[in-house]
Amino acid sequence: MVAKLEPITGHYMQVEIYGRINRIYFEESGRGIPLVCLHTAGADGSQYRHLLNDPGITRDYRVISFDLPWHGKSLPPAGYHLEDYSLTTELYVDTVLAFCRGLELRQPVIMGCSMGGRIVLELALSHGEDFRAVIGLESADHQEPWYDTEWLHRPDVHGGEVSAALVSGLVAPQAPDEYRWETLWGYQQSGPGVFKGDLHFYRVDSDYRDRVGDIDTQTCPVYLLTGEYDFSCTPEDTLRTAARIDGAEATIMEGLGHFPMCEDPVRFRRYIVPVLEKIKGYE
Amino acid sequence: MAAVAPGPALLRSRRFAIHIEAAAWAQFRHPVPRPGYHDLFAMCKRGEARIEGELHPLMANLRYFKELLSLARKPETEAVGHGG
Repeated sequence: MVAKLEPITGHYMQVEIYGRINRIYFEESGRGIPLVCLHTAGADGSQYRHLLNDPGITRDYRVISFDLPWHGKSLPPAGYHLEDYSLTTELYVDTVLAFCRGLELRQPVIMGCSMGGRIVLELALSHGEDFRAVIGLESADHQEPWYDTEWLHRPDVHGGEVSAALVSGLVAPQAPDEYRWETLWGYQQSGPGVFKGDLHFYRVDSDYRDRVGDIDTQTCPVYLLTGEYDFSCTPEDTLRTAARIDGAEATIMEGLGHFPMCEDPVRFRRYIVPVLEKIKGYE
Repeated sequence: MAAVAPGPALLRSRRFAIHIEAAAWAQFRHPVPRPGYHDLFAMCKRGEARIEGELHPLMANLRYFKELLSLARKPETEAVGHGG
Protein backbone atom coordinates (compact mmCIF):
# COMPACT_ATOMS: atom_id res chain seq x y z
CA MET A 1 0.00 0.00 0.00
CA VAL A 2 1.29 3.42 -0.97
CA ALA A 3 1.53 5.74 2.03
CA LYS A 4 -0.34 9.00 2.21
CA LEU A 5 2.15 11.85 1.91
CA GLU A 6 1.35 15.18 3.52
CA PRO A 7 2.18 18.38 1.62
CA ILE A 8 4.42 19.61 4.47
CA THR A 9 8.17 19.96 3.94
CA GLY A 10 10.73 20.34 6.73
CA HIS A 11 14.06 22.17 6.68
CA TYR A 12 16.84 23.17 9.05
CA MET A 13 18.35 26.64 9.08
CA GLN A 14 21.43 27.86 10.87
CA VAL A 15 21.03 31.36 12.16
CA GLU A 16 22.96 33.56 14.56
CA ILE A 17 21.10 34.79 17.63
CA TYR A 18 23.01 36.75 20.29
CA GLY A 19 26.29 35.72 18.69
CA ARG A 20 25.52 32.00 18.89
CA ILE A 21 24.67 29.75 15.98
CA ASN A 22 21.28 28.11 16.43
CA ARG A 23 20.12 25.18 14.33
CA ILE A 24 16.41 25.69 13.89
CA TYR A 25 13.92 23.26 12.42
CA PHE A 26 10.88 24.52 10.56
CA GLU A 27 8.05 23.12 8.49
CA GLU A 28 6.12 24.83 5.77
CA SER A 29 3.30 24.34 3.33
CA GLY A 30 1.49 26.51 0.81
CA ARG A 31 2.24 29.69 -1.08
CA GLY A 32 1.31 33.32 -0.75
CA ILE A 33 1.27 35.48 2.36
CA PRO A 34 3.79 34.17 4.91
CA LEU A 35 2.06 33.06 8.12
CA VAL A 36 4.63 32.30 10.83
CA CYS A 37 3.27 30.19 13.71
CA LEU A 38 4.67 30.18 17.26
CA HIS A 39 4.06 27.16 19.51
CA THR A 40 3.18 27.17 23.21
CA ALA A 41 5.69 26.92 26.07
CA GLY A 42 7.38 23.54 26.45
CA ALA A 43 6.03 22.22 23.14
CA ASP A 44 6.99 22.44 19.44
CA GLY A 45 5.84 23.59 16.04
CA SER A 46 3.96 20.41 15.13
CA GLN A 47 1.03 21.91 17.05
CA TYR A 48 0.17 23.70 13.79
CA ARG A 49 0.23 20.63 11.53
CA HIS A 50 -3.48 20.87 10.81
CA LEU A 51 -3.13 24.38 9.39
CA LEU A 52 -0.21 23.27 7.25
CA ASN A 53 -2.36 20.43 5.93
CA ASP A 54 -5.41 22.61 5.21
CA PRO A 55 -5.68 23.35 1.47
CA GLY A 56 -8.25 26.07 2.17
CA ILE A 57 -5.54 27.95 4.07
CA THR A 58 -2.38 27.01 2.17
CA ARG A 59 -3.97 28.15 -1.11
CA ASP A 60 -3.32 31.75 -0.09
CA TYR A 61 -0.88 31.43 2.81
CA ARG A 62 2.63 30.08 3.07
CA VAL A 63 2.20 28.58 6.53
CA ILE A 64 5.49 28.20 8.39
CA SER A 65 5.92 26.69 11.85
CA PHE A 66 9.30 26.51 13.57
CA ASP A 67 10.58 24.90 16.73
CA LEU A 68 12.18 27.45 19.03
CA PRO A 69 15.78 26.60 19.98
CA TRP A 70 15.71 23.92 22.76
CA HIS A 71 12.33 22.65 21.46
CA GLY A 72 11.26 19.86 19.10
CA LYS A 73 13.88 19.15 16.45
CA SER A 74 15.71 22.47 16.97
CA LEU A 75 18.87 22.10 19.02
CA PRO A 76 19.86 24.10 22.04
CA PRO A 77 22.93 26.20 21.17
CA ALA A 78 26.34 24.63 21.83
CA GLY A 79 27.28 24.90 25.48
CA TYR A 80 23.72 24.38 26.68
CA HIS A 81 24.88 21.84 29.26
CA LEU A 82 26.60 24.62 31.20
CA GLU A 83 23.53 26.84 31.60
CA ASP A 84 19.90 26.91 32.68
CA TYR A 85 17.55 27.70 29.82
CA SER A 86 15.60 30.87 30.51
CA LEU A 87 13.60 32.67 27.82
CA THR A 88 13.25 36.46 27.95
CA THR A 89 11.25 38.98 25.93
CA GLU A 90 14.46 40.19 24.30
CA LEU A 91 15.66 36.71 23.31
CA TYR A 92 12.21 35.69 22.06
CA VAL A 93 11.82 38.82 19.90
CA ASP A 94 15.33 38.45 18.49
CA THR A 95 14.70 34.78 17.70
CA VAL A 96 11.47 35.48 15.80
CA LEU A 97 13.07 38.37 13.90
CA ALA A 98 16.16 36.29 13.08
CA PHE A 99 13.94 33.49 11.79
CA CYS A 100 11.85 35.81 9.59
CA ARG A 101 14.93 37.60 8.24
CA GLY A 102 16.70 34.29 7.70
CA LEU A 103 13.91 33.27 5.32
CA GLU A 104 13.70 36.80 3.85
CA LEU A 105 9.99 36.94 4.62
CA ARG A 106 8.26 40.15 3.58
CA GLN A 107 5.54 41.43 5.89
CA PRO A 108 4.60 38.07 7.38
CA VAL A 109 1.59 37.51 9.59
CA ILE A 110 2.69 36.21 13.00
CA MET A 111 0.37 33.90 14.91
CA GLY A 112 1.34 32.61 18.36
CA CYS A 113 -0.39 30.65 21.08
CA SER A 114 -0.04 31.15 24.84
CA MET A 115 3.51 32.46 25.32
CA GLY A 116 3.48 32.84 21.53
CA GLY A 117 0.31 34.87 21.94
CA ARG A 118 2.10 37.02 24.50
CA ILE A 119 5.11 37.77 22.28
CA VAL A 120 2.98 38.78 19.29
CA LEU A 121 1.82 41.74 21.40
CA GLU A 122 5.43 42.83 21.89
CA LEU A 123 6.15 42.28 18.19
CA ALA A 124 3.14 44.43 17.23
CA LEU A 125 4.32 47.08 19.66
CA SER A 126 8.03 47.29 18.87
CA HIS A 127 8.16 46.01 15.26
CA GLY A 128 4.61 46.55 14.00
CA GLU A 129 5.75 47.98 10.67
CA ASP A 130 7.45 44.65 9.85
CA PHE A 131 4.27 42.59 10.08
CA ARG A 132 1.08 42.46 8.05
CA ALA A 133 -0.88 41.55 11.19
CA VAL A 134 -0.53 39.55 14.40
CA ILE A 135 -2.87 36.87 15.73
CA GLY A 136 -2.70 36.02 19.43
CA LEU A 137 -4.26 32.71 20.46
CA GLU A 138 -4.81 32.41 24.22
CA SER A 139 -3.16 35.80 24.39
CA ALA A 140 -3.10 38.45 27.10
CA ASP A 141 -0.81 41.19 28.34
CA HIS A 142 -0.50 39.42 31.71
CA GLN A 143 -2.15 36.62 33.64
CA GLU A 144 -2.23 35.17 37.13
CA PRO A 145 -0.08 32.07 37.74
CA TRP A 146 -1.83 28.92 38.96
CA TYR A 147 1.04 26.62 40.01
CA ASP A 148 4.63 26.67 41.21
CA THR A 149 7.01 26.08 38.29
CA GLU A 150 9.51 24.39 40.66
CA TRP A 151 7.51 21.18 40.11
CA LEU A 152 8.50 21.15 36.45
CA HIS A 153 12.19 20.37 36.85
CA ARG A 154 13.39 18.36 39.83
CA PRO A 155 14.97 14.93 40.17
CA ASP A 156 12.10 13.24 42.02
CA VAL A 157 9.28 14.14 39.59
CA HIS A 158 9.27 13.30 35.87
CA GLY A 159 9.21 16.69 34.16
CA GLY A 160 7.38 15.54 31.05
CA GLU A 161 4.73 13.63 32.99
CA VAL A 162 3.97 16.43 35.43
CA SER A 163 3.98 19.10 32.72
CA ALA A 164 1.48 17.17 30.63
CA ALA A 165 -0.70 16.37 33.63
CA LEU A 166 -0.76 20.03 34.68
CA VAL A 167 -1.74 21.37 31.28
CA SER A 168 -4.19 18.53 30.55
CA GLY A 169 -6.92 20.52 32.26
CA LEU A 170 -6.42 23.39 29.82
CA VAL A 171 -7.77 21.22 27.01
CA ALA A 172 -11.54 21.60 26.58
CA PRO A 173 -13.67 18.59 27.62
CA GLN A 174 -15.10 18.45 24.09
CA ALA A 175 -11.70 17.93 22.41
CA PRO A 176 -11.38 14.62 20.54
CA ASP A 177 -9.27 12.16 22.55
CA GLU A 178 -6.85 11.64 19.67
CA TYR A 179 -5.91 15.30 19.54
CA ARG A 180 -6.01 15.82 23.31
CA TRP A 181 -3.38 13.16 23.77
CA GLU A 182 -1.31 14.29 20.81
CA THR A 183 -1.23 17.76 22.36
CA LEU A 184 -0.12 16.32 25.70
CA TRP A 185 2.56 14.21 24.02
CA GLY A 186 4.33 17.45 23.10
CA TYR A 187 4.69 18.17 26.81
CA GLN A 188 5.58 14.61 27.75
CA GLN A 189 8.58 14.62 25.40
CA SER A 190 9.88 18.12 26.12
CA GLY A 191 13.55 18.53 27.11
CA PRO A 192 14.40 18.80 30.82
CA GLY A 193 13.74 22.26 32.23
CA VAL A 194 12.58 23.69 28.90
CA PHE A 195 8.94 24.28 29.90
CA LYS A 196 10.15 25.91 33.09
CA GLY A 197 12.60 28.07 31.14
CA ASP A 198 9.83 29.21 28.80
CA LEU A 199 7.67 30.10 31.77
CA HIS A 200 10.40 32.45 32.99
CA PHE A 201 9.44 34.59 30.00
CA TYR A 202 5.73 34.02 30.48
CA ARG A 203 5.58 34.62 34.23
CA VAL A 204 8.48 36.94 35.00
CA ASP A 205 9.58 38.86 31.91
CA SER A 206 6.46 39.75 29.93
CA ASP A 207 4.09 41.93 31.92
CA TYR A 208 2.90 44.22 29.12
CA ARG A 209 -0.09 45.73 30.91
CA ASP A 210 1.33 49.24 30.81
CA ARG A 211 2.49 49.00 27.20
CA VAL A 212 -0.09 47.29 24.99
CA GLY A 213 -2.11 50.51 24.74
CA ASP A 214 0.68 51.88 22.53
CA ILE A 215 0.13 49.29 19.79
CA ASP A 216 -0.90 50.97 16.55
CA THR A 217 -3.40 48.64 14.90
CA GLN A 218 -3.48 50.86 11.81
CA THR A 219 0.10 49.76 11.19
CA CYS A 220 -0.27 46.23 12.53
CA PRO A 221 -3.79 44.84 13.03
CA VAL A 222 -4.25 42.68 16.15
CA TYR A 223 -6.60 39.70 16.42
CA LEU A 224 -7.02 37.85 19.72
CA LEU A 225 -8.83 34.51 19.99
CA THR A 226 -9.20 32.63 23.29
CA GLY A 227 -10.93 29.38 24.17
CA GLU A 228 -13.64 29.53 26.81
CA TYR A 229 -12.10 26.59 28.72
CA ASP A 230 -8.70 28.26 29.10
CA PHE A 231 -8.34 29.00 32.81
CA SER A 232 -4.66 29.92 32.39
CA CYS A 233 -5.12 32.77 29.91
CA THR A 234 -8.79 33.34 30.62
CA PRO A 235 -11.33 34.96 28.29
CA GLU A 236 -11.39 37.85 30.79
CA ASP A 237 -7.61 38.28 30.46
CA THR A 238 -7.94 38.46 26.67
CA LEU A 239 -10.94 40.80 26.67
CA ARG A 240 -9.19 43.14 29.12
CA THR A 241 -6.10 43.15 26.87
CA ALA A 242 -8.18 43.82 23.74
CA ALA A 243 -9.97 46.68 25.50
CA ARG A 244 -6.60 48.38 26.05
CA ILE A 245 -5.59 48.13 22.37
CA ASP A 246 -7.52 50.53 20.19
CA GLY A 247 -8.77 48.61 17.15
CA ALA A 248 -7.94 45.10 18.40
CA GLU A 249 -10.53 42.41 17.68
CA ALA A 250 -11.19 39.73 20.30
CA THR A 251 -13.13 36.49 19.91
CA ILE A 252 -13.97 33.96 22.62
CA MET A 253 -14.09 30.49 21.11
CA GLU A 254 -16.73 28.08 22.40
CA GLY A 255 -15.78 24.51 23.22
CA LEU A 256 -12.05 25.19 22.98
CA GLY A 257 -9.27 25.42 25.53
CA HIS A 258 -5.66 26.60 25.62
CA PHE A 259 -4.44 24.70 22.52
CA PRO A 260 -7.12 25.41 19.90
CA MET A 261 -5.04 24.64 16.79
CA CYS A 262 -4.08 21.16 17.94
CA GLU A 263 -6.66 20.07 20.55
CA ASP A 264 -9.63 20.44 18.18
CA PRO A 265 -8.52 21.56 14.71
CA VAL A 266 -11.96 21.27 13.09
CA ARG A 267 -13.61 23.51 15.67
CA PHE A 268 -10.68 25.97 15.55
CA ARG A 269 -10.94 26.25 11.78
CA ARG A 270 -14.35 27.91 12.11
CA TYR A 271 -12.74 30.74 14.07
CA ILE A 272 -9.38 31.18 12.34
CA VAL A 273 -10.47 31.06 8.70
CA PRO A 274 -12.58 34.27 8.88
CA VAL A 275 -9.61 36.07 10.50
CA LEU A 276 -7.24 34.89 7.76
CA GLU A 277 -9.79 35.96 5.13
CA LYS A 278 -9.83 39.48 6.59
CA ILE A 279 -6.04 39.70 6.74
CA LYS A 280 -5.82 38.60 3.11
CA GLY A 281 -7.62 41.80 2.16
CA TYR A 282 -4.98 44.10 3.70
CA GLU A 283 -2.30 45.73 1.62
CA MET B 1 -6.79 2.50 45.56
CA ALA B 2 -7.40 0.80 48.91
CA ALA B 3 -10.90 2.00 49.81
CA VAL B 4 -13.62 4.55 49.25
CA ALA B 5 -15.30 5.55 52.51
CA PRO B 6 -17.94 8.19 53.17
CA GLY B 7 -17.08 11.11 55.43
CA PRO B 8 -16.88 12.97 57.62
CA ALA B 9 -13.32 11.82 58.36
CA LEU B 10 -12.49 13.11 61.83
CA LEU B 11 -8.85 13.46 62.94
CA ARG B 12 -7.70 11.22 60.11
CA SER B 13 -3.97 11.33 59.28
CA ARG B 14 -3.09 11.97 55.66
CA ARG B 15 -0.16 12.82 53.38
CA PHE B 16 -2.16 15.26 51.36
CA ALA B 17 -5.80 16.22 50.88
CA ILE B 18 -7.88 17.65 48.07
CA HIS B 19 -10.88 19.67 49.21
CA ILE B 20 -13.57 20.63 46.69
CA GLU B 21 -16.70 22.63 47.54
CA ALA B 22 -19.84 20.51 47.16
CA ALA B 23 -21.37 22.78 44.53
CA ALA B 24 -18.14 22.83 42.52
CA TRP B 25 -17.83 19.03 42.78
CA ALA B 26 -21.36 18.67 41.37
CA GLN B 27 -20.37 20.89 38.44
CA PHE B 28 -17.15 18.94 37.92
CA ARG B 29 -19.10 15.68 37.74
CA HIS B 30 -21.29 16.93 34.92
CA PRO B 31 -20.69 14.99 31.66
CA VAL B 32 -19.53 18.18 29.95
CA PRO B 33 -18.55 20.50 32.80
CA ARG B 34 -18.78 24.25 32.41
CA PRO B 35 -15.58 26.27 31.94
CA GLY B 36 -13.84 26.65 35.29
CA TYR B 37 -15.24 23.39 36.68
CA HIS B 38 -13.62 20.99 34.20
CA ASP B 39 -10.31 20.58 36.05
CA LEU B 40 -9.02 20.40 39.62
CA PHE B 41 -6.63 23.32 39.12
CA ALA B 42 -9.32 25.40 37.44
CA MET B 43 -11.41 25.02 40.59
CA CYS B 44 -8.36 25.81 42.77
CA LYS B 45 -7.79 28.99 40.77
CA ARG B 46 -11.43 29.97 41.38
CA GLY B 47 -10.96 29.34 45.10
CA GLU B 48 -13.54 26.54 45.08
CA ALA B 49 -11.02 23.75 45.69
CA ARG B 50 -7.74 23.55 47.61
CA ILE B 51 -4.90 21.11 47.96
CA GLU B 52 -3.05 20.71 51.27
CA GLY B 53 -0.26 18.64 52.77
CA GLU B 54 2.77 16.96 51.25
CA LEU B 55 2.27 17.47 47.52
CA HIS B 56 5.06 15.25 46.20
CA PRO B 57 2.97 12.06 45.92
CA LEU B 58 0.27 14.04 44.13
CA MET B 59 2.56 15.83 41.69
CA ALA B 60 4.71 12.76 40.96
CA ASN B 61 1.53 10.85 40.03
CA LEU B 62 -0.61 13.72 38.82
CA ARG B 63 -2.11 12.03 35.76
CA TYR B 64 -3.26 9.14 37.93
CA PHE B 65 -4.92 11.35 40.54
CA LYS B 66 -6.61 13.57 37.96
CA GLU B 67 -7.99 10.56 36.11
CA LEU B 68 -9.13 9.11 39.42
CA LEU B 69 -11.14 12.27 40.06
CA SER B 70 -12.59 12.23 36.56
CA LEU B 71 -13.93 8.70 37.16
CA ALA B 72 -16.54 10.40 39.32
CA ARG B 73 -17.99 12.03 36.21
CA LYS B 74 -21.51 10.92 35.42
CA PRO B 75 -21.52 7.54 33.65
CA GLU B 76 -22.64 8.78 30.24
CA THR B 77 -19.25 10.48 29.97
CA GLU B 78 -16.23 8.57 28.81
CA ALA B 79 -14.09 8.98 31.92
CA VAL B 80 -10.80 7.59 30.61
CA GLY B 81 -8.73 10.13 28.78
CA HIS B 82 -10.27 13.22 30.25
CA GLY B 83 -7.34 13.83 32.55
CA GLY B 84 -9.43 16.09 34.74
